[in-house]
Amino acid sequence: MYRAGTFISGESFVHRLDARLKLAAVVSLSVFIIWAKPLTILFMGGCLFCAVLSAKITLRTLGQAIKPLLFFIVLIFLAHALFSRNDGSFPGISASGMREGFVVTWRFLLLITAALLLTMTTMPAQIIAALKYFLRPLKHLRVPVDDIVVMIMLALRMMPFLLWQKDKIEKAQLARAYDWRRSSLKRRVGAFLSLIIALLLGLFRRADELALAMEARNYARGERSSFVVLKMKPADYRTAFVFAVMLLIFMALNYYLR
Amino acid sequence: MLQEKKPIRGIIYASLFGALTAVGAYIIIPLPPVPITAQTFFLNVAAAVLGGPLGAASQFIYIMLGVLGMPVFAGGKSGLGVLFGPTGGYLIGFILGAFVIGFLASQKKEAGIWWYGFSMLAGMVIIYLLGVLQLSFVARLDLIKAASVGILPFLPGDMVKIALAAWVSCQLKKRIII
Repeated sequence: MYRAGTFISGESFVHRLDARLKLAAVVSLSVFIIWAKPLTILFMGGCLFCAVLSAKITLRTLGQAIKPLLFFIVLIFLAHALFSRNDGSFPGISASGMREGFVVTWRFLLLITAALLLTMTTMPAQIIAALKYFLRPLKHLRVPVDDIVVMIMLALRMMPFLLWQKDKIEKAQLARAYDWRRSSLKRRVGAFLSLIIALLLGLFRRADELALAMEARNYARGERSSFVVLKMKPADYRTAFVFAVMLLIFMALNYYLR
Repeated sequence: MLQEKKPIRGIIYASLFGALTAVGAYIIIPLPPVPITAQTFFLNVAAAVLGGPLGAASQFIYIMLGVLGMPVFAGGKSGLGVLFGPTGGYLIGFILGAFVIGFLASQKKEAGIWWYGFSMLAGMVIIYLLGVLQLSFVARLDLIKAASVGILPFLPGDMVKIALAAWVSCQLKKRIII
């Protein structure tokens, strides 16, 4: 996510794969990564690493995409390393805590990498088309799938903007030597409320402009055709097969490993 | 060409709040006993301002962002796996809770801060209920244990967030029309 982690055009085997296949693979991988045992995901990391290399993504671009989350990763690691109290010493660094922290961080890194592999090698329009394909059954429940797909697309587009806005506010506060820790609770709440109201109203204004722009271009809700047409090629079927076999192998591995 | 014109502003507002809830995962307010994120704050505001269906839609979109691989779930998790994990119940509760908050909030024509606060409390009850049920089911804890892990640490933070959200919704409702 952030600005880094967005689509980078390129020519590779992974780039050419069908978006539905990639989305399904990432989703099933993330289910597996969360449930699997520590040793299995260690092996899985190796496989994912190979996939990243075959997509011709350099480690540097991958690192740049993960960098904004670094603070978070360190936080998670410390939370587990310091506060996993199984030997009574609380808080304190314990070997088991360190190990747990490492496993959780590793899991987190794999989840991000799998997601990045999808978003970096697939055009957003294709991801959306794939999502629409998988949401289609909901139409029978009278869910307005087309509207929802458009909304997801908008939200995806808004997220980097919002993060950038948040960054800007924090930097502006820092530049003016604002430190919330040093002000009283009452002032803190007041400052937060006035900030959030101003921010939200500004965002609503932008949203209004967007609505106007879309209506001016005669956008209507409901069924839409798409510029992107997804089609499975023979190579996609072969990859799906290989992926399924590998997932089965990992499941078996997960079963037999401690 | 003449179709029934449904206002498009509502769906844009809903996607805005979906994105805000997602970004809220990164706005962390360090408050004892556990650091709270701004997520449920945005959930409450979204539901109160947008009403039931759109509020629920905004939370559905937030969850879809996570399913698509954006690390927007609590603790920077993502993917469909989280929905089936121990904390997945809260996320499903987000959709239902948002619907209930929006429904209750729109029942009164001129809702004040207390009415908003009350509807948000009702929504929170639903979110906690679903969250704890799944937590106790997946993590194999008994209900009381699950409640003490899954509710108590978050209660003070959520109370603060409800108070703030009720006030903000009141202010916003005066200024925008959907």
